Amino acid sequence: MSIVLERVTKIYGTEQVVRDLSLTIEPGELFVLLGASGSGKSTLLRMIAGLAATDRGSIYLNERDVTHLPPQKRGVGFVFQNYSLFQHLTAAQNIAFGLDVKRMPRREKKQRVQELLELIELPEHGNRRPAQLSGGQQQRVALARALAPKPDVLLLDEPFGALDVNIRTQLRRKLRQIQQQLGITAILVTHDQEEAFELADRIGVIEQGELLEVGTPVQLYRHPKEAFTANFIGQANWLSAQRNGRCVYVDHLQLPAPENTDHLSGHDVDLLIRPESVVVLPAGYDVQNPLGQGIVEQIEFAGTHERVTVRLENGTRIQAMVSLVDIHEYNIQHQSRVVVGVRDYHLLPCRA
Amino acid sequence: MQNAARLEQEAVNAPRPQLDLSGWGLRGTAIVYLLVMIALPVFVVFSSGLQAGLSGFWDNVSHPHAVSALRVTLVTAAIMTVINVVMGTLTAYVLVTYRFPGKNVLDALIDLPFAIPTLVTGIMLVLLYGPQTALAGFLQDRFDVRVLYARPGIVLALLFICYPFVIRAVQPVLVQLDERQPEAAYTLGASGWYTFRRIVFPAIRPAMLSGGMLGFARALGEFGAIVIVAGNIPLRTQTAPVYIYGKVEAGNMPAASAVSVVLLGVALIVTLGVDWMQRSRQHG
Repeated sequence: MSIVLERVTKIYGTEQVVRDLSLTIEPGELFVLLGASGSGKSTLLRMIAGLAATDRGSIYLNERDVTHLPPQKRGVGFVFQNYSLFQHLTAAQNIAFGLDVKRMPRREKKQRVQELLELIELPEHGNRRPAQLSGGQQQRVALARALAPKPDVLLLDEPFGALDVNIRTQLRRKLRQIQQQLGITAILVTHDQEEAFELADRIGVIEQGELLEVGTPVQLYRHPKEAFTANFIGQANWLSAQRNGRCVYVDHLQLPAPENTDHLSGHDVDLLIRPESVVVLPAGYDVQNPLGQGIVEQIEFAGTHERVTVRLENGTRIQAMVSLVDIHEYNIQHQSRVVVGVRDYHLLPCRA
Repeated sequence: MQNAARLEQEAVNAPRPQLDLSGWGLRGTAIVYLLVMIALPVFVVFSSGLQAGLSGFWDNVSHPHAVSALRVTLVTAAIMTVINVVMGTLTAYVLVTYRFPGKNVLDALIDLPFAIPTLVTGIMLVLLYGPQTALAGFLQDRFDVRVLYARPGIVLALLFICYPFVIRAVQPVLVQLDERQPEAAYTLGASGWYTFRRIVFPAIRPAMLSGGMLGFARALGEFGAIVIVAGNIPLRTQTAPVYIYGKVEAGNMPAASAVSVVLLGVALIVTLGVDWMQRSRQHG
């Protein structure tokens, strides 16, 4: 079941909250729409579900034009951030709701509900009311309720946003497992890049109603086409540079040009360096692709790593992720004199 | 969540630590005030109504005029309540769901019947449905319905007076209702009507009932509007309050008290019913 959006637009008042957006989602794919709040990502999801009208453009589900169909006729399962379970019904009755609508025979219905309760690993909780379930359990019931009528497409609007971090991680894995097991096409909306990385087959970055960039998590992280994407997904160091011949020049420094960047030759470029690609060693050591010497300005503990900020001699600040082992082995401290090198970097056309 | 709710409940139930005199003084004042203002008059009516013993009470209540008056009161109040629950819920739903010009003015107008003296209500209805008006003529010719000095007039007067009860009970519940719930139902294939029946209605049902019952209790005692609209025709339009007033005027206190006791009993049951429903709503 594929989802195709063709130049869809949503207008609230005078503002275009979704602008001329086109996107194709492959059958069985888990696609994550990643964006800040107010970027239009939830509106887009509601348009696909039929909960918000599409002002321009077309939406196709499995090559069927559903642009002007009501939500009832789209065959879409929807999971809301705040669960939105029916409070006066039990978990089992909630799951059965979509089956009641279809007038499924009682015995078949009971069996399907039990199947789903087992799928979400709450086989004994069918008789509980939403108020008697934890947030994570409620969201699992909401997922089962959306899946019960066997929708062609599953849409999830920040489904883990209201949950504790531990439960969130656990539920993400569960969701991914269920989605792959059923082979259902799914779109998940989130502002959490970690969540996007963990779940997505592909990510679409959305900003001010426009789809900036689409790609696998690795593509977007390592080779983003847009500076916004690079900044939104993970930490980034930016250096102004020039691409010429086979090299990239940063001030007087010369680095080998990455592959497939010939089209940027002769242009000003922005050099993107991820903190984990930065090497920090005590001054005097040899490093690959040196950027220069500097002073350690700040060290912050970040769990598995230390986040080290180095001020280079030319005043540029560089952030690096340095392993705890290296920190101790090379005795890197606040105010240490260090040399900075880069393992990996990426070029983007200059923003200005 | 469940745990937090339980702890909160325990905190509320926990006894207050200090037993200071001012606390007891306040409690005593409140309780004595309640007894003097409410319980004592109720008790006096009961004792007066039952003064002549149960058989005397029964004689007074089973007098044909008394039976008719009670029946007129209960039946008109019941008809009004049914209409009020249906139309009040519909009005509240429209006010909460839709936007339209003049909505705020309309919302403010709803409380007007509470503020208008009921005698004035009666006069308004007489002016509208009086024998020489076009509306009355139309109803009489077309449907053979008489409003003034007839039971439809009583129902109309009660509808006007009790108009806000159901709306004001249902409206806040509808406002609080999570709008995502109907949306979830739509994505599961449910039509608008199916969604209302299975999702919205169960949520507002207690408010509909308690609003309706409060209106019913209020209608039992209506005097001013009814006496003007429906007059005082025994066995036809004489309601229980009007009957009681007539007995008081005639100096027949036992008869007045006996019918009062019946009205009081019904009102008491309804009030307790509303209270019980509100409690069970909080717990359920």
